Amino acid sequence: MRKVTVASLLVILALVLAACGGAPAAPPADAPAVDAPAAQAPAAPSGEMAKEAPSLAEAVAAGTLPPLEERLPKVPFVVGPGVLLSEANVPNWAPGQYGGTMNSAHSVADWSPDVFVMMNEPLLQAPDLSVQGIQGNVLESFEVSDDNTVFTFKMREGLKWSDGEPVTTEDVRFTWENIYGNEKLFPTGVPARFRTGYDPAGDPMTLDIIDDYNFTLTSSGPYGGFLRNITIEGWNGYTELINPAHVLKKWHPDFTPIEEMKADLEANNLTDEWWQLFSQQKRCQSWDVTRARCIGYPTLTPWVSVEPESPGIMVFERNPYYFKVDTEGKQLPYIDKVVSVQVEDVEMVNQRVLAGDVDFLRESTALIKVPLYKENEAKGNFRTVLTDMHVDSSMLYLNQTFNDETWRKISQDIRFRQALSHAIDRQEIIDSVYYGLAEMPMVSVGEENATYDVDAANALLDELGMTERDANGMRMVDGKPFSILLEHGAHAPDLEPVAELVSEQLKDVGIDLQVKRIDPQLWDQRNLANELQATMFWGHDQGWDSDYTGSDSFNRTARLWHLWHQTNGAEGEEPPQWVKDMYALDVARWSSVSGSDEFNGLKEDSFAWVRENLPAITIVEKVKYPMIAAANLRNVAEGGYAIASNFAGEQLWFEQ
Amino acid sequence: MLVYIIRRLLMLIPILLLVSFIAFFVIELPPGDWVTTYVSQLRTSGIQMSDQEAQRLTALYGFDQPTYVRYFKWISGIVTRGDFGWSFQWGKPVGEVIAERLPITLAISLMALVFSWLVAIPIGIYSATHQYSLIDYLATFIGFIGLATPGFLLAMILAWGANQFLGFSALGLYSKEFLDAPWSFAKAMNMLQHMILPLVIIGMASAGSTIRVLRGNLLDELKKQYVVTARAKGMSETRLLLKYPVRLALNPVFSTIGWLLPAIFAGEVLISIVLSVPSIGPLLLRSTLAQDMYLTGSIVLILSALTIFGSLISDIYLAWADPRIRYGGLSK
Amino acid sequence: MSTQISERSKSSVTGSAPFLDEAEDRSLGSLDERLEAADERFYYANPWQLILWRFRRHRLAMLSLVLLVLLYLGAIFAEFVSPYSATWRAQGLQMMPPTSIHIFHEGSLHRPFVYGLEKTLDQETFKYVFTEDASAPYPILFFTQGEEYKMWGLWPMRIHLFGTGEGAPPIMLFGSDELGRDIFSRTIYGSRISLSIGLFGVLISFLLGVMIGGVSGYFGGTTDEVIQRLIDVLISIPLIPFWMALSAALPRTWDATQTFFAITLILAAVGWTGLARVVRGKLLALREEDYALAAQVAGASKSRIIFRHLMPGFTSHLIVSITLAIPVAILGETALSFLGLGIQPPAVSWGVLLKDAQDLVAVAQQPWRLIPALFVIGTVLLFNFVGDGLRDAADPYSA
Repeated sequence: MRKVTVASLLVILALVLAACGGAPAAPPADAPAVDAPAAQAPAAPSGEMAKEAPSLAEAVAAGTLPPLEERLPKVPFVVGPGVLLSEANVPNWAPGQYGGTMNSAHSVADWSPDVFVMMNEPLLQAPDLSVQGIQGNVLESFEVSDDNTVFTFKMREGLKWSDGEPVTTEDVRFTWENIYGNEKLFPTGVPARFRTGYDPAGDPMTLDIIDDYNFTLTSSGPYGGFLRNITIEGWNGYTELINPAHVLKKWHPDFTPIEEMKADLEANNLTDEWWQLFSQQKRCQSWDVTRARCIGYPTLTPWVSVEPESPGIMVFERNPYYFKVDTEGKQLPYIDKVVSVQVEDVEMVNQRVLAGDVDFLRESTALIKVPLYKENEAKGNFRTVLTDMHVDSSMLYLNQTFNDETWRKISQDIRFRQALSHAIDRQEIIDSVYYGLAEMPMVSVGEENATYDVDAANALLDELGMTERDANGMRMVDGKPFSILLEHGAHAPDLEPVAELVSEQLKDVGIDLQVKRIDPQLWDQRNLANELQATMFWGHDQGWDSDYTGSDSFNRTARLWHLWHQTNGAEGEEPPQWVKDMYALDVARWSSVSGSDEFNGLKEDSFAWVRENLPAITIVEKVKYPMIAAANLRNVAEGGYAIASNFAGEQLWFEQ
Repeated sequence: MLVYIIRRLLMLIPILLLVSFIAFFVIELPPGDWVTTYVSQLRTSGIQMSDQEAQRLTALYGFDQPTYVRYFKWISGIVTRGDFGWSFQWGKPVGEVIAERLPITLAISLMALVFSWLVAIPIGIYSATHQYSLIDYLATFIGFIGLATPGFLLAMILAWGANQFLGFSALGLYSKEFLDAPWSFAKAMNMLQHMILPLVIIGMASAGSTIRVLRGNLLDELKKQYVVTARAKGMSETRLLLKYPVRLALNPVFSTIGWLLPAIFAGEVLISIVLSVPSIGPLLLRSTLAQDMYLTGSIVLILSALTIFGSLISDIYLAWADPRIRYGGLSK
Repeated sequence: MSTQISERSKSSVTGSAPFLDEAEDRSLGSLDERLEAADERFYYANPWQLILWRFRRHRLAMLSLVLLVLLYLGAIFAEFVSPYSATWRAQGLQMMPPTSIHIFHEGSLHRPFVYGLEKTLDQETFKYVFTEDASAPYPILFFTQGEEYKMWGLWPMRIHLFGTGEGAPPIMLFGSDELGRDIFSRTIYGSRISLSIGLFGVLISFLLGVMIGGVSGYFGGTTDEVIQRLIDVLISIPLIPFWMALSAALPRTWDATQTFFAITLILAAVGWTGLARVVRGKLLALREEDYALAAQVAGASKSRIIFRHLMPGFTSHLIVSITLAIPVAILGETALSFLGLGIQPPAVSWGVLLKDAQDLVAVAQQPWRLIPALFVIGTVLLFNFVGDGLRDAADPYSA
């Protein structure tokens, strides 16, 4: 692992030096060439080895598809060992064979997280979804000025949308000027990621188009975190900056009169709100990749959505214009088709696993089912890979801005949150729900607050003045019963049992926590409407490079404060100083270059801030996570984050 | 007879009206109107909506008007344009979403109904004519088990068992290799195989009650004088049985379509959720949980309307079969 | 006339009572003598006595009734019968199979006892392995002191029907669930909600059904038409889907008790229609009978004719319907809880337990977690057997 890191650091160093020296930037995609000399620019089809899938070769022969050379960019992205996933995690990377259908399963209508992650193509990329060793992805390469303000990007010449149209800076310009620059679509202007320091209140960057394939983004101040912000932060993918202008112009009044959109507007119960039609129906962002409405929409993803043969499934077929090739010059992806079937009862996702009906599964697995998976591996022809989870799997969120004065007073008092943390017997939860495969939250809660200590919890609660108790020994406030309603969306199988256990454990200190399970979509609505008093959800892991303070989680920790921050004070409520401190820490961190001393210092400060303020109560850290892969599926990670393996779908192949 | 049918058809109008009131009531149930929901959804996706626009939407859907106006807008949309409203969850018109899945629900439900009769009628007749025989007890017991076991649990256990012991993956409508295959004979056969489990589970639950009803009625009939008379005249036992008592005893069985259908639909909802059959059931659960109320209300409306037509047919059959009811219904 | 009656009574003795206690019959002397004695009693007995007599001969039904009474007693005294509370957790003993009860310790006979358990994780299969520590036996104690509870939420008590006493390893007859809770105790506590939902729900729907069905069936005409159409509407609304829709609007803050009453009412509000249809259908046919006309001519009031003369004519049918209705309500609760729309944890009902057991791990590797399902199935069967017995006993034709 260390070796790889050192290697990638060297690569970065070389790149930076090259960039500073003004030397022509080596295509970062070639970086792995250090490890794999075989990796060259794709050789012309040589000898008998097929460089494209048989079905595409047939289409080319039939004249319905241009030949491979015309479909690939001049400089394709070369996938080899250590490129998408580090060699430590995929020690036996090998170029694969074409063919096969990857079956998966999802449980929410129109939404498959596993497929979404597999299809995600960010602007830039780094192995293992880390932010060490950032290289080009959809964009070919980049240069950064010394002061971290000018970012020059080179696009891949010859890159095509999945409908065959070229991808150029016109798509970038359209996104910047006609989408972000349109006040109907973006009343508050460009999103925070294109503002200095990832700060909603920061100055927007400026876009300069150099030619068809080169452009720069310039920030008013140092924005050292910008590159890592356009890798995987927020899972937003290339649509943050590149959208198919040739399609979207038909639905934009700058290019098409609104009268011509009438039929579509009416079909959607609209009259002349083109912007709703544009963003709700016509534009597909990375997150929308599994939506039925996005079938046929041009993408840059390895597979594209096609009309399924029967209801309840999603089908994705290979994108003939996909821009990645392997070390032998074969166009990716290897796998022909991805089919995800909607399972109505999450429990039955596991039934499909046992039956061998699933070739890859991540989001719906559960640690508690591992013995079942293990027992059925041979029968179902799959294997269970125990990897790391990329998030702190269960956190207790108390919405400190929930509309209830008593509740606000109490939940905003740090002693209350400390008391709850002390009252939770985490070891019991680790044993019962996580099979012992999780650790105490030393980073985000700290030894001092994580210890199970009922006396300390009681003392803190008494100190808060919650001394009055009802007939059942439950604490009261001002003579009224004090009850917390926790609503969770069962987003992961562990949330319900953990919430139930916490509720039981809190009884011992006289706190009444009612647990209710609601639909994930409803949960979303209530969260946004500030209607959740408390919830259980995951929070980003402290090992994840982008989020050390949990500022992202503030949406659940204090919805109205978060809203205030997001809207730059237009909506929500002004947060207290300790929260503003956190936002300031975030901006400072995002402004610094990752890995620098400044960054590392700020990272430590962020951890300290979290432990001191306990914005949310982390239950466990470093949770293991089972990932299901068909026995003959190759290039699957054996370690690291499960989601990183999920992300590298284009390199997976079936051994026949 | 014709008069009776016309009368019954006319009676449908107020019934359907009443059902539509209930469905609309369901739509209006959740606190707040859906424009608010819609606005909050738009805001999730980063779209800011001015108060003006929200007001325009409110007006469009009549949320600034009294309930009856809203009802009228909704029902006239259905009657005149087949427009059931908009599903937020699916981002499609409700009608489209339902149309995709209704055929599967109908197929499974009707097949389950027929299946339950195929099982229940012979068993019921046998049980009644061989009262207290071993097979009577066995049939009664199996009927009871079908009745007594929660279908959702049975479905999971059987699905697991089918996979474990027969190597058959029972979930969904097709095996994975047929999921995205075009229609073919093999695919149709595969679908039939996948329908066995839901049919048996849903059908058995209603077969249990049908056996009970039939057996009870037949026992009552068999004790009547005309049976004794016929037997005394030397009529063959089979002919005697099938000619009158069975026919009479079956009447109440068919008359129960009206309340068997809702039970079958309810069973279909539960079993389809467990077995992942892409039918109305899972759709309903999801729309309910997500408070996608136009979809929920429309499903309640459609399932209810279907049941009403079902019981209409059974009533017409009854009137035809039993004149007492026909005239009883008419006399005033 | 009298011969006919004795004919019937004979058939009831020999024919319709398969579990007739032969020994008892023989003790009464010769068949003729006995029949005469029976005739004697028969002439003077009121109908309910007759039903009781005949019911008592129905052994399966009697046995079922006894078991049902036991189940209800368990539900009433749940705190005392179960060794632990429904939410008590055995630390470190999650997913434990039912405790084995031993009677031999070190080769010698001992009063029933349990051993302590050690849990280890098998690194290969990831299964928990429980090994008994055979060094010290812990006898099972009856009427022992245990966890404190409030009987019916009123009186603090500590006495339990059985247990292993303080400091001893727990006794979990049905094993434990994934959080280490005692499934036996949870089943007993769960029966409280599940058994009463059936009873209350059906009581309400019975009253509604008989009254409305009676009125409809007797009066016929417009009254009948209106009521029938109302029933058509109610009956045609699939219960589960409708309740699913209604649940969307239930206040979020409702606790288990409120949800319980809401569910009971909903189950009843739709449940009465089936019964009303049965009553009405039978009345329609019976009111044409001569004796109804006779009563009318004799000047009996309509309600008297319905409830006094016509209703007894199909009591059996009603009873069959009711005995089928109670278990339907019990199953209804489990279905709603399975969908996550019924009783929610931490409240315990059989539906909640079944939802817990709706887990492939339970089916494949921890079958003891399915034991609550046996209680549901068993209870439904028992109600049906009792109903069957009552039907045979109350049927005027088989008399």
